[in-house]
Amino acid sequence: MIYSSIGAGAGEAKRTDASILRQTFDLAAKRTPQPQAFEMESRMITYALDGKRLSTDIFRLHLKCVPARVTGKDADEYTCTKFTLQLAGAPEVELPAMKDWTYRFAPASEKGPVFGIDHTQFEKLVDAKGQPVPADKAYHVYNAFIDFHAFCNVFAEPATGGKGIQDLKTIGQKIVHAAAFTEAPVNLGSSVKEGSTFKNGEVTLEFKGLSLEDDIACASVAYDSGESSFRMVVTPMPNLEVRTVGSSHYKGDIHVDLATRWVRKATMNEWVVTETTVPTLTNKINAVVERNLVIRNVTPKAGE
Amino acid sequence: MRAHRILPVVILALTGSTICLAAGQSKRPDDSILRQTFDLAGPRSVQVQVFDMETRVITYAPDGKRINTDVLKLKLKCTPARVTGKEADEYTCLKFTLQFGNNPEVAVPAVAHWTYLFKNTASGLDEKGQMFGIDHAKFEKLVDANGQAIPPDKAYYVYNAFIDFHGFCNVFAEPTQGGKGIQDLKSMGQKIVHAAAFTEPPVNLGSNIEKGSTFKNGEVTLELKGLGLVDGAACALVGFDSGQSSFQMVVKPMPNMEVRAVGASHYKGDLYLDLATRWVRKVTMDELVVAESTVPALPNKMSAVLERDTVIRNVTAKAGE
Repeated sequence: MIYSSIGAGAGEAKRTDASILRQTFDLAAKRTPQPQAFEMESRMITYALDGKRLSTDIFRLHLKCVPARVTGKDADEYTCTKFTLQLAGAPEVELPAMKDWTYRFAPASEKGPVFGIDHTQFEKLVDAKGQPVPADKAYHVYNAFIDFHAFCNVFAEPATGGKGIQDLKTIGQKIVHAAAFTEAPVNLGSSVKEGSTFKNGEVTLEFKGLSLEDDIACASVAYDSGESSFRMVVTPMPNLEVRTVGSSHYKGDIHVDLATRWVRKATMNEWVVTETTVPTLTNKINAVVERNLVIRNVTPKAGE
Repeated sequence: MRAHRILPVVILALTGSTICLAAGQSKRPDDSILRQTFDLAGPRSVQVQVFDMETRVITYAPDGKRINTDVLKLKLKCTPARVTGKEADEYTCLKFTLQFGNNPEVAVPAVAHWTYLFKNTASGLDEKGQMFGIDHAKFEKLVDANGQAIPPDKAYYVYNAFIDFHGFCNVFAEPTQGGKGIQDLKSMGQKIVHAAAFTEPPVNLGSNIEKGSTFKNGEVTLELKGLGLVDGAACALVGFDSGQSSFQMVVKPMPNMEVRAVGASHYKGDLYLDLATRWVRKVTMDELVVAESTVPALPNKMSAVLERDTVIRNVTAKAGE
């Protein structure tokens, strides 16, 4: 019992055998070629200006990944097995258009839509009850896929053209990521116009330590967006152009399986402050939004 | 011959010390330390500790622009009761500096070398109704080293730096009375609702902030997230999260003027707890504050969005203690 309980008595200051913490790590090698299943939940809290939490929207994405080395195709294939919305306390409802939709993941460096995600899939979304999904909520459906790949691929896989997870070798190390100060397009189909962009601040990755997720040893890597900002131009009607500017600060942890290199869990907390100008309104519309996100790897373990 | 014998040993040493294997192998490293039972609640070792704390307060404009950053720096020494023979740990503020916006950093002489006994009661309040035994009088009519008066809202930040320090390094990082706390985190991944959850401590301060001002915690949680290394010391990595918190404050900037502020807070961060000494080695904290103030003389309410980022570092070794 004494041996298995870490933490020495007062005054003893006994050091435990923590040699694993002092090892050199390689977090950037290829992932094992097994299909993976993920569940992602994103909670979006809207604040009133007096701090009251007005509403919470919940987006739930179930995503399956079949690696290219399994399919023999040129890229990892992702299938959305389920997507549900729960808006402001209303019952959870599914989006039939997303169910069993498959796409091939494309790295951010490639031309074409961001991460290979087809915009047309998010046009005129309706829920399982036949209700149209409002344009701003449909954007968050799209953004769920973007978030997923940002955390599970951009941050959790080696970066090209700059520093990335491949440079984190020892616990405590911190780097400025290749994504720092980049300005990515955030346009989407006919609802969010081209020229809409998200500008990252000084994005950092830090090797915080080791964790245990679902009984699997993981590297715990923190990311931090730094002082980020964005601008969006939305045309809800042909002659109406709504402009939104704002700031974002997002940060969280990624737990990378030390044996398979797949992400076992990721968390994210984001604060967004925005101002929207609508030509037909005299006053600008201000909003403060908090987003909390958890991604869990729910792939059955061998033998399950 | 000698070179041939040494080379494989070097290769073995290199490959052996790099954790993570080639794709497809999926071999598990020796991670038994992660599966141990932990005791994070025993008494701390009997050594004097020195801490540096830095808090950055970022003010957002309504359009999201970051319009101002204030930086507060606190250097604090703790002499344990078992060293002094007193009834409580003794804290000495070695230095406190402020930097408002782009102005130069300036010291606050009134709190330099100020000593107090930390009182960790179940409610957090001492016999005078003051949090943690921190004397409110110390923060009345503060002036900086240039002789400039520190505005009441900024003076509150000075006071709050001490409250934050003890909130993280004592309330969260030491065992609790009357509810769950760090003593209940025994294995990796465990998460508990902390005794501080849903409590509503007072946040009044001297003549500036009236009694009845309170901060209401949400569902405060602690989670044993992992193991880390800070300055070479193996640490338990414990996450804390305030849940959906809120506050109300009544400020009297002038005798006949009462300003009321209400708002929301969400703070979260990590504690790094030295596995050998149980002293805090590092703390990180981020907080979002959304507030609205009602000033009787103004027709419109005033809204504010703030972000606070805090880092506490144990600098005992550097301080030569």
